[in-house]
Amino acid sequence: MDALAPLLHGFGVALQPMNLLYCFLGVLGGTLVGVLPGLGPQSAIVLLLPAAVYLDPVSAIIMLAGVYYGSMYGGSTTSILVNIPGEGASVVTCIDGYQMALRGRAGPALGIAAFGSFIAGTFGIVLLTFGAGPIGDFALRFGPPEYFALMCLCLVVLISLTGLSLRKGLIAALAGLSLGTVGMDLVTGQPRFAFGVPTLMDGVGLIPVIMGLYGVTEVLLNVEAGLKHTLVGGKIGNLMPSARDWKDAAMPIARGSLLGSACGILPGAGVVLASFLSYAVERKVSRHPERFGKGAIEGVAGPESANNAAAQCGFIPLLALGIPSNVATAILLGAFILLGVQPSPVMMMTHPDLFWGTIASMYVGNAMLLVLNLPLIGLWVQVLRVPYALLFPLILLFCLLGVYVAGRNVAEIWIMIGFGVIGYVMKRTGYEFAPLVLAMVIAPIFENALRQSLILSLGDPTIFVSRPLSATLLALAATVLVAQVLPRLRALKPALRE
Amino acid sequence: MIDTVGVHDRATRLDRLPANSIERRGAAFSAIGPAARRSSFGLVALGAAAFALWAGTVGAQESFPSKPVTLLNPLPAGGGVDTAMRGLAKEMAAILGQPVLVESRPGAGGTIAGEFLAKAKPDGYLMGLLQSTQAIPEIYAEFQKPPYSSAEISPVVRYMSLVYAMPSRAGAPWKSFSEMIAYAKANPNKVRWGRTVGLGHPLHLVSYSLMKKAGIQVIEVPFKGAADAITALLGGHIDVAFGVSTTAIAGHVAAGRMMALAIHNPARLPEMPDVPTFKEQGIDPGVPPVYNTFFVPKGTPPAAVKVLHDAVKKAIETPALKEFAAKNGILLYYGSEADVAQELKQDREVSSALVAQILKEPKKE
Repeated sequence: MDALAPLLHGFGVALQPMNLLYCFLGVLGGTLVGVLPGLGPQSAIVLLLPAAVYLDPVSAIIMLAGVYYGSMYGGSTTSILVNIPGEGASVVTCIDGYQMALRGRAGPALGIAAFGSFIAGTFGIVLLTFGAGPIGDFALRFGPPEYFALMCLCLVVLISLTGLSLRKGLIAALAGLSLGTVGMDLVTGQPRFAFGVPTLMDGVGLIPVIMGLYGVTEVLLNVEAGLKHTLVGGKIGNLMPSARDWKDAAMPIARGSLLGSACGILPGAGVVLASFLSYAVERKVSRHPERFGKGAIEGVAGPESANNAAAQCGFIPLLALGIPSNVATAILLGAFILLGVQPSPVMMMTHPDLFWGTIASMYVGNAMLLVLNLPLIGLWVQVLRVPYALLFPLILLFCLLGVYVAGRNVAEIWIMIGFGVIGYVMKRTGYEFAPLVLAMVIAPIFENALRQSLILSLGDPTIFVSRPLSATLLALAATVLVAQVLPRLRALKPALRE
Repeated sequence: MIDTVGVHDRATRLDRLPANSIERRGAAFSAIGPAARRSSFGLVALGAAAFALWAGTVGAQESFPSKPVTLLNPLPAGGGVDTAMRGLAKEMAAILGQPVLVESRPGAGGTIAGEFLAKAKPDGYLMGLLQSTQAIPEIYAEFQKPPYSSAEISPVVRYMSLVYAMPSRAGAPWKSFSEMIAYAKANPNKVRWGRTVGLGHPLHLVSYSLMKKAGIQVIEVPFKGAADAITALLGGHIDVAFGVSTTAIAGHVAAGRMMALAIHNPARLPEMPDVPTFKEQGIDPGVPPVYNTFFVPKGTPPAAVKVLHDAVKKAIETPALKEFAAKNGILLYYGSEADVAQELKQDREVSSALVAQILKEPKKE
């Protein structure tokens, strides 16, 4: 497909001074909400929506899209420096990013996050430019059985995220899977575990849970620690990663870009899953898995690349088919409609300025983010360097605000506070959050796909293996499972002989 | 079978807390002000707030409204209803001489917003755009215990109705709704029929009524929302779906990736003149189209209700809103208090009967 001529036309649109300005405002604002824990891209886009209606549609979409992918850059900063994710997709960056910072390597961690984001983001946009049509069509081949197989694969990969204790990891994952079943049963319409609370009819929201576990818990732990330093003190140091860092991070960035793109394209998978999977994969393929959790640069480079690639590729189903792949793109879809444009397969023809202008603006925005962020990291650090007695109430405030603005629902604030307390107990007793959060994301997709498949096949389970795509994914899941279980069994053997 | 006892129980239990819970909401809302200022977007919020204050002081002092009016949306921001409300808000602001804000409080099929409205101060400054599920929550009590009852709210004016279509995948062995029904009759349990809403939702009632009246056996596949069903249709994983807005499929139909078999409306739409109604195709689901009617808390002064009613009516007649509606596939559908009362009565009868029938169905799975 010859995309060059229309892309050049798109640059003509994106480089108009007003559009450049809105692109700049969007990515800057996105980075800021990314840096501030609690406020995520969803809240920011919802807040901006009423104002966006008064802008030219092209400018408005360029700005809102900028907020979305800009927030993916900002989130890592808070994860690395304060050990609180700035937004959901930076949850795993905390693990090794913060450890790097504690070891005096905050600079390279921030640097590699920014470069990885730029490389993966650009990779995602190139895919979007040249492959929007065919890739969108391929994603459509994923019906319920394929989603079921894909989620099986995700569940198997989840095992490698369980941290030091397999037992505790599996308990957390089971808790996450159970939480994912709360809400109205899709098939029978009956409420499950909702206890008459209207909010729980829609299930336990992911945003309040993440903000509770990672935001409120962190504040609680620090109150207990007598407000000790959590923001890494001293100098950030040189942001440029060393030659050795680049060597270590190159493959994770490449793998993260590919994995993230795949997650972005598939409706429902999204940025959070992308970053978790990338971390799990990096730990699996590493020759030194013991370094993970102790400041491995791969653990920062991979997930940060993956979430940016996923954010960019999330635009493929949105722009090519009018299908939102996650909450933020669903709100963006609303913004398109509000501006009088219904995204659909014909949008490329009916609204070329908007379609190609938006895509071109992403190249510009990504370059802006890299140029902005390297020098601005100093500024973001200042934002986070507010005295702790002020910073923690502020973080709590932003968490409250972020959760409230996203849905204007007070019950979600209580859910967040509840998970703050649960998170505190989990941290004190050595449980990891990651398996719980990932299992919670997987559970509803897994369950609905399973039930939809069996309804479609009138109860015949061979539907999962008779379709090539789903059979391949299931075979892959089985292989990964065997690869994970065999070493453990081998380790058991000598013990059994005695 | 409607669990009215449960409804009353619930209502009385909540009666003990209302003031408290409203205060909490109010406090959380005002917290946005100072915090928003710290973000760059705060500027926008600040500007809007300043405008609201300014408009508040120069506007009419005595008469209603003397401060901004809020339109409550029970569905997520950015959706079709949200768009329609923002278009109306712009015109209403000009008519009332006060800013008109749109606020979304989505969740639990809209009952969260319904409860918020029912427990709000009855002063006319909050008006919610409700559909059947939120307007008469008792009907659906078996699926979802409502935290308030329709006795706590009163209708003001109908603003619009939403037109839902039945799209079919491209390449299906039929060209019209009646052909599809004939195919389904000849091939029981062959047609894969997507449902976009939960069991007992008004759109499910339409879908259910269509199947029963046609006397067909299909594979009914539930989806979490219209977007998922559209994706499955585009991928050919299902054959037809009901409960998708006409605007959401127009592009796909134009691109030849879908067929629009029929719409749920008394008449054809000007923007889709080729698409017949279900009734034209021989099967009338008998369920009223999805109405969107404004409600206020019970006890709102009649003078304020009249001002709000007149403002909506006048806004619907402005060329600007008419043009906006046509562009966005919104069917403006004014209804007076009497029209609305009649419609609510009919909805209560038809929908209650259908819900009772659904509950009698043998449980699948």
